[in-house]
Amino acid sequence: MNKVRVLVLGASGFIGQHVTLALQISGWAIPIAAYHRSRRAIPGIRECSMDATDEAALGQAMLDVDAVVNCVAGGPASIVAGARTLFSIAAKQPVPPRIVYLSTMSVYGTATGEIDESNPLRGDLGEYSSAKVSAERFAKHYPRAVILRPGCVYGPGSSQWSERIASLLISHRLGNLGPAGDGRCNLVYIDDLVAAILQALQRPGIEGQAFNLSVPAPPTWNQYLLLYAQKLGLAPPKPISAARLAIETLLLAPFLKVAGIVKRFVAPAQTIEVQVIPPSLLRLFGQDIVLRSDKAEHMLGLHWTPINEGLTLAAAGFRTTHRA
Amino acid sequence: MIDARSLQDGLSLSADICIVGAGAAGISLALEFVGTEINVLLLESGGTKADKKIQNLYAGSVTDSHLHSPPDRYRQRRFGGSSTIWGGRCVPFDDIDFQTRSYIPNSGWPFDRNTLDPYYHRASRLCETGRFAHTSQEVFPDTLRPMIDGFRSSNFSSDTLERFSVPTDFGMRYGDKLRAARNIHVLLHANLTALHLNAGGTSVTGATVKTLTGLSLKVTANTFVLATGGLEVARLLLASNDVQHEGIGNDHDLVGRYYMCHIAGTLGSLTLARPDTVRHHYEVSDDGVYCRRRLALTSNAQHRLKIGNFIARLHHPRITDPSHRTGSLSFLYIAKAFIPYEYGKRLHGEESARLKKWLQHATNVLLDLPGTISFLIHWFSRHTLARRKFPSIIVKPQSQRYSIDFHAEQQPNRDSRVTLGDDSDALGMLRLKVDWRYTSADVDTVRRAIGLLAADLHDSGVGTLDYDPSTLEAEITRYGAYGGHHIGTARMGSDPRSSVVNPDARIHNVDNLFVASSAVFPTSSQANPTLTIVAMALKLADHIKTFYPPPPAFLTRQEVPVREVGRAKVKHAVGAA
Repeated sequence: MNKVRVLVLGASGFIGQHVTLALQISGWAIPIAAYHRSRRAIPGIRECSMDATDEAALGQAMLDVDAVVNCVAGGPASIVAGARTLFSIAAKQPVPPRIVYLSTMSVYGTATGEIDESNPLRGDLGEYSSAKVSAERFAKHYPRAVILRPGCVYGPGSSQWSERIASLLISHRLGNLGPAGDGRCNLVYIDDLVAAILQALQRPGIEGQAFNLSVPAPPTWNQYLLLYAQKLGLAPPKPISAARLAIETLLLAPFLKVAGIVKRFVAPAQTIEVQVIPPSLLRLFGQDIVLRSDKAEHMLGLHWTPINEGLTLAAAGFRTTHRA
Repeated sequence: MIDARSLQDGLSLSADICIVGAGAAGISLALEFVGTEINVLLLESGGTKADKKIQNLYAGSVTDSHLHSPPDRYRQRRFGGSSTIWGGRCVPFDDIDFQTRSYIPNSGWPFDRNTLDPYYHRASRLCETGRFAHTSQEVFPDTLRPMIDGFRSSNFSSDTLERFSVPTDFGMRYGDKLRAARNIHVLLHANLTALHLNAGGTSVTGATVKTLTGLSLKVTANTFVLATGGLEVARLLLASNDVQHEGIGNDHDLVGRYYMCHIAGTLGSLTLARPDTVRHHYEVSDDGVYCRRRLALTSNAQHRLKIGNFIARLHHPRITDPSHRTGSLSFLYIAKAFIPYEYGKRLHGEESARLKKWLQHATNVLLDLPGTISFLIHWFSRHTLARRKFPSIIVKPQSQRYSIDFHAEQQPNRDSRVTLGDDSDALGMLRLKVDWRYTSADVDTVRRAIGLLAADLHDSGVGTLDYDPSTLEAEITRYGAYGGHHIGTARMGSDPRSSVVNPDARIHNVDNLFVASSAVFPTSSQANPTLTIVAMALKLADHIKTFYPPPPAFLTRQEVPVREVGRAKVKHAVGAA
């Protein structure tokens, strides 16, 4: 049987690496890992180096693949440009490949309540969310796209939703947020996302569809922070007042952001992590949104990793990397 | 949130559910409907801040001012209700509290503790007391020293825990959530003054709402819920007498009767046989909640002695008596003018020989200056500044002597009651008259439990509890009815002849009027009522939700078989963005 050749765009990122590895050991796929900036060679994996917005390079890379997974991260402009390039080049292929496009729950913007895939895409949470809505518009015009809209992807090694949160908990900058943490925390364990991507590559009859990805009945952010602190072996998180959160997001966040940029110039080799709580994160903590993911469960045949289990693994991962 | 004073006089408002009172019960109930299609109108007399004129609507009279605090104390007429001032102690009722006990007339709830358990779990979340686990075995397995080293008793358990809320001010904590909900409307400065029944007296057709600025509004709703405190439920039912002249639900002269608080106080002097054998302070659970053990009279002992429920805590010696030689306690005595009424009651009294006593306390402060200062620093950082407050003052007495702080069940007593008085408030509503009474059975519960505790302490050789049995009754009632726990004025039961509301908390014979309040508790337990008030409100919410079944399956998009959702629908969704 011929194996399916899958081009993984953004293969050096957290999600891209996991997807590449999973395809490699799947038995039915051959991943081709496409990197832009950094190269982290995985033994035995075909790779190519290119910019995902470079039409010529992308056309070359797409010549002999059956499917594409797009896990490219980036700024709003490159998200839109990348999607435009990807779908227009793909449409020109003799046999257009199936494209699994990683979108985000942010496309629903400020919506609250239970949200399924038919809800309008408001994209009103700033540039990132509106850029993703534009990108999905390109995907919509491409007949062989499968769109995945994950919530917060966590797991060992997830810098955004596991490492960062752990550091903030340890430094007592996050804790029980009171009303500010009553929003729902739509988590997806990294393995579940990878399973969804692999299913989205294989299943027949799902092209043109979009799928929310989130653990069912998500906890509140307060519950998540408490449970994660327990898994990390920390003392119970203390209440954080609204005034402190305001100082964090309005005063400290811009300062730390500047400090981070200065640091990159002054001491580029040092790996001091500067964790910021931007206003957008605080807004997310308070957003009462529940992603309904039963469609993905039925049509992609997914099983969700329970949060208790996922957080145990995430905490173990954090302790291993930070012991050294 | 709408200010009723800004509306037009005579305006009619309608909703699916009208909840009266935005305290712990009303807010918990309203939260259950957030995001549903059910329209909720939440009426609140007060605004978001305390206001003397509004608070004065609670004023009333007390038959014996020595036995009961004035009715405008210990309760708050404002958004958040009395949760704006509560101490946060959360304890579930025990199994025995729900049982019909032959030796306690009128005892027994129409359901058992198991029925309430799922609601206790949810109530704990709302009260922010962490998980619903109230034994030290569950919360601190094998990690705690015994409460009193060497104390062995088959009558008292030191395993049960009280857990402490932040204390959560329900208005501050959940106000934003209610504001953001499209289907919930909070009407501030809106005083319900009367409920109106249809001619047959079987259904509430509407309610009159007045403002202190002289406006009068009409409210209609399918379902009405009185979520005011235990005193105000009785007042509103009795005052709504246009069709049923004795008041709503009062066919059998029960509304306002069986009024219970708790029998509580401090007494005795416990001298330990060995020093430092006690660990009675606050522990912090793994979810960050202050917890404290207590000595709970077991249900077996209650059955055997035929007395009510009872718990005791080790307590510092009486503050007013300077012989405790403890600087921090003397400091509290000196600073009592600055302590809120609700928490300073036990610092007052014994006002004779004032100067001498004051000097003795001042001497204590000076001699124990390091202790006093460290107490103040601790209190300032852990209580005043902290969001999760250190619940109360726990002091290790210099004299190694403790007192016993007890909290006991008061039995239902028909003659203990609230009625409407003769004078009226600014809205023209008759003010309440409180005639709280205790019986010899209530004294007996404490007398026998304390006696048993003294014997068990003595028998296990850990110390001596001294008290004077001849002054026991005076000691027990020194501070009168325990403030803020207003129970039983619209009791729940299956039989309309002996209860005001049915097991669903609906007024017997009125098909759309419910009560979410400690007013419906048939008995008072040893436990503070708030956690159970919230649990009962959640239970009521589940019951009311059954009146509004979700729309038929074929009309909801979620029920469309997934395979038929199809590309068109997704395209449409994307196109709409």
